[in-house]
Amino acid sequence: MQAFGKSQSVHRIEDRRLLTGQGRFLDDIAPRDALHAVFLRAPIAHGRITALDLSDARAAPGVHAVFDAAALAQAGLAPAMEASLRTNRDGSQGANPPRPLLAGDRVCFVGQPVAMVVADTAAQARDAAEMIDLDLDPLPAHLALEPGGPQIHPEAPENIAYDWAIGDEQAVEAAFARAARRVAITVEQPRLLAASMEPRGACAEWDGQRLHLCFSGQGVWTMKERLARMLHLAPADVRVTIPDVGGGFGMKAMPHPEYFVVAHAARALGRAVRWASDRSEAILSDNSARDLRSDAELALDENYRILAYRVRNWSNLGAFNSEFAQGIQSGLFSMVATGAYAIPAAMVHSRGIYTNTTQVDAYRGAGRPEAITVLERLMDKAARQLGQCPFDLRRRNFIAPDAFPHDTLAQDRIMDGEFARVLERARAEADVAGFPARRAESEARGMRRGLGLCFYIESILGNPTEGAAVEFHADGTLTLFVGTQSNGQGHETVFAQFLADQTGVPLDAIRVVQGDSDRIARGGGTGGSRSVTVQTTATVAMVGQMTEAFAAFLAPELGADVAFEDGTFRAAGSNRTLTLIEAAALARAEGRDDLLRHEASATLEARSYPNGAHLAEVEIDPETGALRLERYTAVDDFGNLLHPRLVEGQVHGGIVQGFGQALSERVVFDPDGQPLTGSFMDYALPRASDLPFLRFVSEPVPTATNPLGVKGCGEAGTVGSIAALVNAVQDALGDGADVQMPLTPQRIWELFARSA
Amino acid sequence: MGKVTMTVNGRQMTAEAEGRTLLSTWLREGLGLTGTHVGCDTSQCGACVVHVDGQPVKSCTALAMDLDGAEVRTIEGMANADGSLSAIQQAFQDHHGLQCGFCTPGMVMAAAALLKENPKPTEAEVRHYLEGNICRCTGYHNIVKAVLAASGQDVSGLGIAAE
Ligand code: FES
Ligand code: FES
Repeated sequence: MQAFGKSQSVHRIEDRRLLTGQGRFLDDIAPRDALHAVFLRAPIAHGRITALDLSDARAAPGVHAVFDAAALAQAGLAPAMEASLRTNRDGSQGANPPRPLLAGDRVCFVGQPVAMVVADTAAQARDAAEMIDLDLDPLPAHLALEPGGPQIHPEAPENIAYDWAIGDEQAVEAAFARAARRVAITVEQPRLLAASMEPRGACAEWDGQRLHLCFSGQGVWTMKERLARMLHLAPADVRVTIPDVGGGFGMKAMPHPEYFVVAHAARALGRAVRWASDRSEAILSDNSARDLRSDAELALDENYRILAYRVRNWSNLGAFNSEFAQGIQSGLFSMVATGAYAIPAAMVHSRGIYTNTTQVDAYRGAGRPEAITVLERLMDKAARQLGQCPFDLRRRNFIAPDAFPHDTLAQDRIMDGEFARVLERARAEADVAGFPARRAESEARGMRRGLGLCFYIESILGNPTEGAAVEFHADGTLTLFVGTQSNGQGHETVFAQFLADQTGVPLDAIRVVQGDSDRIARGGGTGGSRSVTVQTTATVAMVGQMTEAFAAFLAPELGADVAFEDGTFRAAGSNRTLTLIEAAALARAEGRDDLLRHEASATLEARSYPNGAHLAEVEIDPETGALRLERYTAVDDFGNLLHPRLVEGQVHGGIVQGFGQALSERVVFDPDGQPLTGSFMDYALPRASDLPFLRFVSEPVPTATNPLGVKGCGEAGTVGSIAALVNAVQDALGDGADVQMPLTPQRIWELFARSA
Repeated sequence: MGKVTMTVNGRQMTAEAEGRTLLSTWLREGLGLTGTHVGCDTSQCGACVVHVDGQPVKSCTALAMDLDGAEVRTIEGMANADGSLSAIQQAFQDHHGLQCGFCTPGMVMAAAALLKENPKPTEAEVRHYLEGNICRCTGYHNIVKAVLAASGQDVSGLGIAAE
């Protein structure tokens, strides 16, 4: 491998177009003659459809078609969407109630799509949708995060979607029985919105034989497969592309029903059809996030060493299984359930519950922020309850640097980590020693101050295999094809820069292509903080293969011992050198077209586990409940940083998403299942004025699990920040009941009023 | 339905509008100026901010019909005459003040309005001014940093602490 330019920070290639209004987001590039689609959605949480009359809407001005479940069935579309299922503790499969594209005989949550109108303009489609006559017989709604209540699906008795566990229950029980100390906590994590600033949308075209779906997503291949199956098309006749994406955060990774209906409409009408969700619709219909309750317990010996850990989760799935929903608070949660600690016996028991609400699926971290938040809330409580220093208690229980590889509860392996070193760095960077003085100063002003710590580990997920390909062009440039997908992380820059460093090809001669299933055979998209690690590993493999092929080609010219070094091919016996671009030009001149395209894929040998210590320091006005985040320090081990500025940006964004969960965001329903947080006026996203500057410190322990020693950084900020912030509020409160998220000023005020 | 004419980024532009057509829709659909984004329907997010007669306006809250004859500047008109980025755009790039770029046009337009009003704002003033602009990606750190830098203030202490 060539030396690579780690720690270089070049300007992002994508910035210029995004800063000048030339971004190509979905709704910016829809064909001008495309018809507009608008959905009619369920107005109540649960009800039987007694009448659905589309005739007025079909006759309305500008309307080309109106689709309902019957129309889709008539056209032969598959009756239900797919989802991955858990295996229950008894060996059976998790429940699989059919999730229709459009509601048939019943609606199961407010916002469920019922019909789609296609018209010349969006305004005409909206007007026509209002003319649809939908009669509903209301049914009782199940909203509580507990089994029982009004049954939603015959396939899921007691509304239980799955009942899954991992770990050695007997060993855990035995450890608890002999433990000197036990600490327990209940942690509630609110239902959140991913709230990408660009809402979802899709545009489909049909050329008589092939379907092209362009959508705001995180990867093209799953969508391609699903479309082919749902619409009974040959995979070769489906092309899926993704343009610039205005944030995805896991939510946009999952197929949603609207995409299929839009695609079907384009085929049925032979016209381009576009759909752009507005914000109200996004709030009702985008996959929601989190929404779980965990009862967790630690058993410790007399020396404060953890003997066992168990956690029982209740996970709200909403009304249907979304793509990966059953796996989030079960399998993914368990990936990091025991955190950075050596815990001899542990178990996770998770149950999924259906409720008459929007479906819930992956969001920034997907199961891992949830798991770490539960564990680190409990570690914090253990330190308080047992009178231990929160730093010491964690240190004592860390997996020691010489104890790797460490086998985890989820039967994975952590290969490396120096957790105590990272923790000590954080203690110094955050000036923990100065905290008592700062607290005294706050208290002198009638304020309260709290310091919260979270030590997290994160597990890189997603497909461990990725491909990379290059194509040389006659004008001396090349195209790099990648299977990952930028949602704003800056991949165009990272991968172009990486290839430039590896090959000596100038940055401006490299174009990165992503998100087109016709041009890239396979890829894993973005998700699980995988992209930089897998894509650069694939690029290293491809560059190795390519330079070998060129060396063989050049040997007759330069000599048998051709090597590629510092961006040039050279041989000991010759003064002649060629750059990669020159070698490609020579190959072209000699008719060696086989050398003008190279492709390779690589599979990671093991997952990497980023980790870090986050420290939040808050000041609270007990009179009003107002909270100010005074200091935030994140010390992270991401291994080597390929592009430090982009990494820092990921950390900032991740922290603030965690800040939202901890302090302000929550989806609320009324007792009938009507959402009360239907706009950004009621759903409180963090604003610039809520935050200070954040401090990010890199404390790298390069990993041997991939050639670059990088560990991944996309989700870590969120994983680390939630518990740090909640623990800081708990610390400011002193002793008292366990606090629950989101810690809004009202909740904080009540907590202080109660404790006074 | 009627014709509405405005001076947009220095050029006279005419397009159809209905009574209910929002300025944001008129710009995007009528003129094809898709740099102005729409991120909400309750005038909360600020992705749609443009300048109307020199003042920052959420273009999703204004009706095109009401603005016949107005002078409008959008993100497409923010670069320098020679095509180079303006100081504020350049600062966003230099300080990585954008990730997905969806909130960016509104952020740049709001920040430009702030600096016109207040050429050397404090951190708190920047944060307060940008309260009506939501970003889901950056955590605001680098946006605030970029605005301070564009105003000529030293932001060198606000970066990554390496080893
Ligand atoms: S689109 Fe105008 S404020 Fe959100
Ligand atoms: S950069 Fe994505 S919303 Fe601001």
